[in-house]
Amino acid sequence: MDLLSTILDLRQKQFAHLPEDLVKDIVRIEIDYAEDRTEALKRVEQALERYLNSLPENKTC
Amino acid sequence: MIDDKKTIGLTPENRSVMDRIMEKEFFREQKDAALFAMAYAINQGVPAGNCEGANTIWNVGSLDPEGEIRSLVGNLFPDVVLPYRLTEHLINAGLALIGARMAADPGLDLTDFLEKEQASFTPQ
Amino acid sequence: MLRIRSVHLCDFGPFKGEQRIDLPKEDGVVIVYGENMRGKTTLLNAIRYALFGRVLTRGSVEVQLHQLGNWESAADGKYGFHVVLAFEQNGDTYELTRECRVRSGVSKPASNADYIEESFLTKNGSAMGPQEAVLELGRIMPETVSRFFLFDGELLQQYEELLRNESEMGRQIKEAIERILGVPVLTNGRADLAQVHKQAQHQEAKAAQRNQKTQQLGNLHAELLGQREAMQQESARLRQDLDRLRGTKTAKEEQAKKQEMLRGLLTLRERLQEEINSLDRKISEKQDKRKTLLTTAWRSLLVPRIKAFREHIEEQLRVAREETTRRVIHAETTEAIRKALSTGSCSLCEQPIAGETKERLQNRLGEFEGTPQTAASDDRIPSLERQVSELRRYQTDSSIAVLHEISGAINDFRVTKATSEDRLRELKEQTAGLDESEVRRTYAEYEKAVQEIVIVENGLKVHDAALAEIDGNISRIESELGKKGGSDLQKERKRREMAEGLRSLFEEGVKVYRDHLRTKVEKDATTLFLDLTSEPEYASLSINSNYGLTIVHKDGTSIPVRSAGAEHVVALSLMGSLQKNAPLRGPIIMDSPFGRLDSVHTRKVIHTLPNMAGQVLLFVYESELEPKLARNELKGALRREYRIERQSARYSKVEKVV
Repeated sequence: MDLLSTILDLRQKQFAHLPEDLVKDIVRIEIDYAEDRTEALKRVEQALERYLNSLPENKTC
Repeated sequence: MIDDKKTIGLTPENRSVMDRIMEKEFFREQKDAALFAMAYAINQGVPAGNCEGANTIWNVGSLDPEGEIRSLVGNLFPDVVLPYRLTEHLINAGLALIGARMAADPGLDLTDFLEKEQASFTPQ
Repeated sequence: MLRIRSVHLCDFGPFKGEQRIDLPKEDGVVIVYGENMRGKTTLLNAIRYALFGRVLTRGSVEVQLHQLGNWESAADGKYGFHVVLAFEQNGDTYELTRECRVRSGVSKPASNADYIEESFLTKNGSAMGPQEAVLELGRIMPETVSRFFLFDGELLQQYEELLRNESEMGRQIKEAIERILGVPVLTNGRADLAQVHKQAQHQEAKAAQRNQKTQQLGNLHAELLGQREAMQQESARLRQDLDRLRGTKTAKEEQAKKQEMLRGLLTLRERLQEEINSLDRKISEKQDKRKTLLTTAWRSLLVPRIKAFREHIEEQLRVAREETTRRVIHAETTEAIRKALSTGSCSLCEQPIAGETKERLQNRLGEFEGTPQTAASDDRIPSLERQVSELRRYQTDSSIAVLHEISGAINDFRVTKATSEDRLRELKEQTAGLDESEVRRTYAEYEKAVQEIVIVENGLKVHDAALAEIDGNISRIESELGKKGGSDLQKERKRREMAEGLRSLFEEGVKVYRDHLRTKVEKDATTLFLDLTSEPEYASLSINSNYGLTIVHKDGTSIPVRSAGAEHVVALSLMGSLQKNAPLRGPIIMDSPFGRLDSVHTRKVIHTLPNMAGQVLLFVYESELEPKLARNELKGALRREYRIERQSARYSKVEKVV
């Protein structure tokens, strides 16, 4: 089982309240920016922010 | 009448012997070695005599504070009238004998004298 | 997957002028044959140079750039070199050029300073900017993991380091393995999410502070977060100290091992000196006792003579006393007879004396008066008595037996001392040129590190306990904010909870993935190993937390020590297993991979190579791997053969064979 499958499997079993797409995004970011930690952190924050903004309670008209 | 000696000394040769004995760390003081040499001389049957050329080392009062030596020598040699003169002679004679034995056997242990000499003594 | 298409060299090492090795698109094995000193290792180094700008030689020593150019070209006045590496990954094509050229104005370069080095990377035909290129290359082939792709048969011992838990090299290799297996993706994710969570908590605190209802809680929250931040920094500092101290301890242990022999000699030297000192003390004590006894021992010498002389005097005294007694009796008897004759009666019974008795008494008196008496010896007796008394004083207890025993003991001590002194002299000669202070310093530094580790560990325990308490308080406040906070806090709370959840997921993910990886690496390495080894009693490989592999016998016991050949096979098994399990895949390029292997194992490795990686490039010499054997074993998997031909001592040429 590769890295992504391991994390997604674990999410499903123990952290089902966490959104799968967000988890995939974060793993992708960490793979792509393994050598640029500053950029990786920035993009993880952005991914989380995007997710929060997409929630119905946070959407603004 | 001649007075007995007030000081007791060693000849230069016996002074060297004394130094060699003291190097062996058997005696605390030279006078202990001197009395040992005297006793050894008596045991070896050294007859009464005189010692010439001795340089003063001890005062008789320091060598024989209680008069024990004087009394002993006087008893063992009743014909001698100057016991300290005899004592000086016996000490030097004894040192000469010990010196000769040390020259023949540099590793000589003086405690062996005691056993051997006791074993070899025959009363007259 | 990374696939090399070609290696193009110009004046690099013995490869004068432009030379090229092309590799096929398809999976398979390419073999480059070359005798010793013809440039096989240089080809491996050309790839290393292109990717990382460095060249390593024996013992992983970096070679100076200005020594890399071709000597024949240099003799012709042509300096500098370049390497172009063409490769592809995930559908993208790349061309990496790294060159080293002489600075303008320099006619005869003598050091690195006389050269300029440049590199260019194109992706799909377009040049990439320098920063971009560095990041891209770091993503494609990080240098830290290169040892699992560029395999040098001379560097096997580094794989043994994985078996030692605290070695620095072992730690570096473990990090490299985890890197290649992708673990940093999760550990970095964990770290980033921890940071995001921390920031989310601060944002929540600020939002709470802005609202009157939750201001107090918000203030407290912010304060606790601040305290925790400070404590975490302190913890991090303590952990850094601990790592440093552990590193020092390990380094000193390794240093001490090397110095073990010297330390042993020094300890022995100290012990001998102590022994000698102790013997000196004992000898001195015994001598002192002997001196005390010998102060009066001269008396012992004279005891028999004095005793004999005393006995002789005692005999004289006895005789003198007898004579005195006889004389006294004689005088008294004579006087009594005279008195009886004059008084005419016995003085004892008072009877009259007459007639015959009187005549007898007169005759007796005549006899007595006629007998000569010896001279009076009375005055000798006191003198003799005094002599005896004086001579008795010389009866001393014999201390001869004790003296003899003491002398014996002194001699024994002296013999022992002489032996110890001889040995000490030898040791001093042995250790004369050695740096003893270095040994003592190593030991002292080791001890200091051990003590400091205990202090720091204890400090960390206290710290961690305090941190746990603060975390508990923070959680309670966050729970309260959740209840009391309005919609303005909702988003911040959601952000915090999300970040916390994600961080926990990645935290757990690291453990699960690591366990999973070790199991997989162990399983795949075992499969490869059993294919490669010819020993039927080897059952498997067992992996430790550092990815070190131990051979397991079929009876379940581990094989603790391995030959270089076995190390080779285990290392290849690990490499093959990593290739199978790593998200990062690439070619395996091996220089002299069979040097330590016999023909049986060589055949087995050759047979297994196509399974280890898609693209395999081997640099070998013919007696190491016969071309015929390679062709027979690989068959269709052998895609191409090259040969390095000698042109001159400083010029080699790569020729394609097949």
